[in-house]
Amino acid sequence: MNRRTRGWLVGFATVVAIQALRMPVRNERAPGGFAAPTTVQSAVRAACFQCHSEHARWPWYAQIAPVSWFIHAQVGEARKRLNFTAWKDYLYDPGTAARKFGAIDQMVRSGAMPPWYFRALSARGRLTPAQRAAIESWAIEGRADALKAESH
Amino acid sequence: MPCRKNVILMFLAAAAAGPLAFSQPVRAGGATVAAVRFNGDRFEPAKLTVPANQPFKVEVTNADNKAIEFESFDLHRERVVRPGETITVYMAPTAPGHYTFCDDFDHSVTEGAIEAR
Ligand code: HEC
Ligand SMILES: [Cu+2]
Repeated sequence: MNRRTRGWLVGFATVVAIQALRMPVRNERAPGGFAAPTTVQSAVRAACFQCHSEHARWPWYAQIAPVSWFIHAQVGEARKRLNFTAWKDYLYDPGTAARKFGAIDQMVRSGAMPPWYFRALSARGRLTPAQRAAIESWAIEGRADALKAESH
Repeated sequence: MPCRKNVILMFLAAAAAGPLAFSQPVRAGGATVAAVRFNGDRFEPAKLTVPANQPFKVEVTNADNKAIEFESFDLHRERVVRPGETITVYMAPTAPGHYTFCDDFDHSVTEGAIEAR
């Protein structure tokens, strides 16, 4: 066995071995909570829910370590910061709702969300200009309403 | 055995300290209001106790000279509090349990907790 073959075998064995620690993304809570006009709803479901909800459905390659470790960590951080499954909780406190709407507008406007690697991996992650515009105006309006409610 | 005067003094001191040590959130207009103050490096008190399964409010005062972000990942709340400002955070009826909050702008600040029971 030459060195090259051995290298490949060791690499392959390592990838197989780390599958013991796959760390798949789990969905813990019951669905529900997020409501928005249809265009916004479908754009957000397609481009954000994989990371920002408990409705994650990742394809096979995302379930293989070490890719799965990366995805697992990303989804954990993403849900902590913005979880559409907790949308009703945010709305309960207008100040929190205003902040979430504001952050969504900012992230979509700047192109920071969805992240580049997600846009590269998933066709659904590539929002059309119309979808972007719909999310942005929904978020701006939502923020304004929440700020109004907060000052009462 | 301390003389009677000392006993009375001790009793009075305990009576005065009791409410401070075990201060309960105030109920105003039906909803419980729990107050917490950020004094520059920590939240005071570090633990708020509220009744479970009832709506409540948390009044957060920022006594520092830099803005904080009062954030509870557990209870899904995120609010910026500017220096000198007091804000009201509305909380939905919550199952009994221990929920943490932090300053999301500065993670060196010790976390606080809300205990619903
Ligand atoms: C592939 C995973 C992924 C997808 C898809 C994704 N995000 Fe994120 N998002 C993250 C991660 C990870 C963070 C936290 C770290 C960071 O801020 O970069 C984040 C942070 C955010 C924040 C910041 C929340 C805060 O703390 O204020 C917002 C807002 C946000 N995303 C909105 C969106 C929206 C809207 C979409 C869909 C258009 C989306 N994201 C799609 C992974 C994702
Ligand atoms: Cu935050």
